[in-house]
Amino acid sequence: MVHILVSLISLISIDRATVEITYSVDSKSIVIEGISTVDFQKIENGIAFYFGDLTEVSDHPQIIGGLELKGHVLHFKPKYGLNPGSSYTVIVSHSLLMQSKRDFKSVITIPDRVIQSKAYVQNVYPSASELPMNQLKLYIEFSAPMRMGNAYKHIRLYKMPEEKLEDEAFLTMPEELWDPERKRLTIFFDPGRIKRGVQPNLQLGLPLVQGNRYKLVVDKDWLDANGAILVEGFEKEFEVVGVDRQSPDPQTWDITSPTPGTRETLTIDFKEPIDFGLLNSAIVLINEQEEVVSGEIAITDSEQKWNFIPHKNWKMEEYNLVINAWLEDLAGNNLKRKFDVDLNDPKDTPKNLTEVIIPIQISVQNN
Amino acid sequence: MKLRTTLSLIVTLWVTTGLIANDTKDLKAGFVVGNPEMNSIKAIAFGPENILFVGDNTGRSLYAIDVKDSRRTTTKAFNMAGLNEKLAAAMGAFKDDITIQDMAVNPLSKNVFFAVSKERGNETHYALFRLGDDGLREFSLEEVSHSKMAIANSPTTKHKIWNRPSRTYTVTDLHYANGEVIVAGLSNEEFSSGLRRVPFPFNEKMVTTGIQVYHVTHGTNETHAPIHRFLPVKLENQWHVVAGYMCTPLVTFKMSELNGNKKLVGKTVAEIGAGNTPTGIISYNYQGNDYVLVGNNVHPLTKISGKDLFNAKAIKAPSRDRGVKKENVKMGSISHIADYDEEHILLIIRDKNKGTYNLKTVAKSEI
Repeated sequence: MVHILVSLISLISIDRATVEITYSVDSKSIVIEGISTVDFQKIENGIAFYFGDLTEVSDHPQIIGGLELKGHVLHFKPKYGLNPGSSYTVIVSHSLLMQSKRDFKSVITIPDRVIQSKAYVQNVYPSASELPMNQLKLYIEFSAPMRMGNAYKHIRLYKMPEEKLEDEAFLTMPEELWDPERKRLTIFFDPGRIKRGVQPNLQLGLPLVQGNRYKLVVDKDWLDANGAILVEGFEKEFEVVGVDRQSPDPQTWDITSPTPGTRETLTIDFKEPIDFGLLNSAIVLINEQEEVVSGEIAITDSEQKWNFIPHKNWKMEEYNLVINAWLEDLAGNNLKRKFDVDLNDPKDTPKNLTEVIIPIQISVQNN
Repeated sequence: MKLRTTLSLIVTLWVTTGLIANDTKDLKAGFVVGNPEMNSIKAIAFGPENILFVGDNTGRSLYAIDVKDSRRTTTKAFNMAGLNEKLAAAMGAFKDDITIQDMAVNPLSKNVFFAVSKERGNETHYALFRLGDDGLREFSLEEVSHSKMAIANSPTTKHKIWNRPSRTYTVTDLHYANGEVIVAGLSNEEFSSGLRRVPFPFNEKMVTTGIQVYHVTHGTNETHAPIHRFLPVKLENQWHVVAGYMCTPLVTFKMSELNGNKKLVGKTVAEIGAGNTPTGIISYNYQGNDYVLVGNNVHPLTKISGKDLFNAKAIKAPSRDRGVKKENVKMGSISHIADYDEEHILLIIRDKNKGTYNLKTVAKSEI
């Protein structure tokens, strides 16, 4: 498992009296000094590295890593990283030692880094203070990249004012759904409780109940990607209103008309909050050449408005907003179909569309 | 597991995925030797001829790796208390720093593969381990014969403008069946992520087909729902898929219906219950009878006869028995499940109190 990185050199000799085992954080290596002449293969077979301060190493797996000899200094580089704040047990076989019939054990401890907390919860979406009973997901946005793997332990929902833990509200699954930067986590309310007629829904009902007030809590001891806890915990309270079983309807949206020659903001007012993640990824503006127009997007008014400021002035030409049909409202109803279609209700029939194209009126000023 | 052709006329035939090699193709044509440089290792599954498929989430790719295994020469059962502790020690980490992402048994060699991730400090590492006659060892990826294929992030749309940086597609399960790799995954934004079909051998000219999957409750409510865990099974020369949706339990559908143009509606045959996530599905034939086993993180193992499953009618109304007849087998909280050989299955069982994950071989006669 250990890779031989140097060729064989004559005989071995490690003087226990002079051997010194240290570490190098820079090269992420354990360093053994005091090796004189060496048969590398014997060294490889005679030195073992273990994670932790071990009294007994019998069936403990050795750390996977690579050995390299530079002059009289042996470097062991753990393949999967050297951890600050951890101890390592190094066993040098007596067969490598001069004047000794016993193995030589050394434990080195690498001091923990002082890690400054800098990550905090920047926002939780939806940012509205009223959510529908069939709210489908939440986004938790952090100021810095986070560690994966323990998310569900750090997020709790309480029914207020009695602070009753709602421990079956969220879907906790082995996977965590992060954005590529690992700064935004998507949490689903248990879809089995939201979807009508399935057992979780029948047994437990919707995760949120109309008229109730809830508090979402994000723990301070959630670790960021550097291993530091958050600067502070986060709480958000919200009220629950009725179910939303209507698809967003582009016909009801208000869309502004920017003036040519300016960089006026183009705004869509959806008249209802729309899913934050999809607002950022499911709407684009294209020009006459069907090229995407570059600009800055700002989501405002509790995700009810999508604002676009072009990098270049508006021209007197045809612009179209392209809205992907997978754009969802807070309850997972998208432009094409409701989250939970009633097959016996003709009004619920899904629309046959993949995108909605909305022409933008470029307004000519009346001077 | 052998193909019991002699019984085929009287017994339902059942073959798990990956055991039928496609004789007419060289499956490893186009493989290159080197380090595949995967960004992450999430889901793993074996195909034929020692080929291990790996889903790389952050690298948005699928890999096929020739593991060049030799068949085990002993029949000693694999049992390992504290599997996560041993994996952590080998990676130089505390057990809480690692996650066992997936487990797969090579049907040719009977070696067991584990996909493991380690997070510590500001580093994330991924590794493969192989458990065989020589014990638990790292499976080095530095010099392996492999091929690669990108996973499409978005379903095909008219405008190729939807690959936004915040959108991710997290592979939750993958299997090889019938000349292709089928991938289930979840989007961090829209609810309705589909299955992906990727032809194998991989060919960059071929496109991934997105399958839109739906779920209907009692003929009434239909949701465009993502599949979380699934298993392709061959029954009387026809491929089927047994799947667990994110919103609700067990469904079946025919693989022939799995094409990009057709809306795929799973037949709900069983409901496992609230507050639970299925962690894996396996199928096997034992003493002439076919079974499907579902590993659950909260509920006991769910055992269903194959004959019952495929003869089952869709659940039409909420009922106490919740669909097809099933048995509960108490084995603890299952994090991973795999079929091992004619007589045994493998489980990774979580010991919540100790924080350990234990590998256990269980005889099919005891289930």
